[in-house]
Amino acid sequence: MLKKRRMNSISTKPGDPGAMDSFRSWIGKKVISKSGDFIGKVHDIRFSKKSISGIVVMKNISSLFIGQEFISGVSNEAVVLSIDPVTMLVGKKVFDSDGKDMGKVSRLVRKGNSNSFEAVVVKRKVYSKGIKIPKSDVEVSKKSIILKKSYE
Amino acid sequence: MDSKNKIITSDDILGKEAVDPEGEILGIVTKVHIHKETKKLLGMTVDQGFMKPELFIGLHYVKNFGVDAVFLNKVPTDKFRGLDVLTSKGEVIGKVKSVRAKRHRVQEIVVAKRGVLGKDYAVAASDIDVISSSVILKPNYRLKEIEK
Repeated sequence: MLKKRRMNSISTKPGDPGAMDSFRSWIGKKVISKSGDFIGKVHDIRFSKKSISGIVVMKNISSLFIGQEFISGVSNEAVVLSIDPVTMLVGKKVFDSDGKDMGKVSRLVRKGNSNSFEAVVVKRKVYSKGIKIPKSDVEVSKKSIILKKSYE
Repeated sequence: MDSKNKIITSDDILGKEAVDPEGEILGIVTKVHIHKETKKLLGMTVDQGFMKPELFIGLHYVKNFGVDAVFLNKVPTDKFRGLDVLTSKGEVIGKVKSVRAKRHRVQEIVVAKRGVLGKDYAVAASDIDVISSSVILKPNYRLKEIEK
C-alpha cells in the first residue's frame, strides 16, 4: 500500500488530501459481486466531466466497465458491488426443468447497457447452432441457469 | 406403462450432478443410501471434488431426479464451511469454521479470524447480509468472541 504523505494543498474544498483515496491505491484491488463472487481486479478508473464514471475490471483477457453507481463499498483490499453483473452468466451451465443439461450460455441478449438481459443463447458445442431462451423461461440465474420448462 | 416411467434405477442417479436451488453444482452423486431393514432410500453421497469432504444429502433435500442432474430444494448449510467472511466494504476478516442452523435456517456462523493467533467469533444471522460465494456482513455487524 502507498504511504500517505503530508502535502500542501490548493483547493476550495475542505479535506486533507493525504487522507483521500489515491488513483493508484485502487488499481489492482479485487472486485467482489453482491453475492461475494470474485469478478476480477480494478484495471483502470474512467472519468467523465472531472468525476469518476466507473471502474474497468479485468479478469483473464476480458474487461468489464462498471458504473460508479454500482459500487457499494471499498476497503484496502477490495471493491464490493451492489449487483451481480449479468455478464457473469456467460459460460454458465443451463439445465431445463427435467434436469437435462442443455449446454452453456454462449451469449446474452441484453437490454442496452443495463444489468439485465432479454434472452440467453445456449450452445451444447462451440460450433452447434445456439438455442435462444427468453428471460421469461428462466427460473434461476445464479451459479447456473435453471429453466421453468423442459426443452426437447 | 405410466407407473413404469416413474421408476428410476440407481444408474439414473449415480454420476449425476447435484444442483442446489441457487444453481450451484455441489458435486457428483457417488452413492445411494438404503436402510437395511425398512429398505427405504435415505439419501445420497455427493463427491464435492478434490480436498473437499463428501456430503451426505438426505432424501428430503431432493426436489427431483432429473435427466442429467439431481435438483435439491435447500442449500445444505455444510456448503458454507470454508467460505471467506467479508465486511460490507470487502475486507476479509476470516473463514467460516462452522454453521449453527435450526430447521435448515442459519442461526449463527463461527468465524475463524485471520492470523496465526486468530480467535473464533460468532456472528448472528441478523448481522449477515449475503451468504453465497462468500459471506458478506452488514455494515454494523457484531462479533462475539468464543472462549476455547
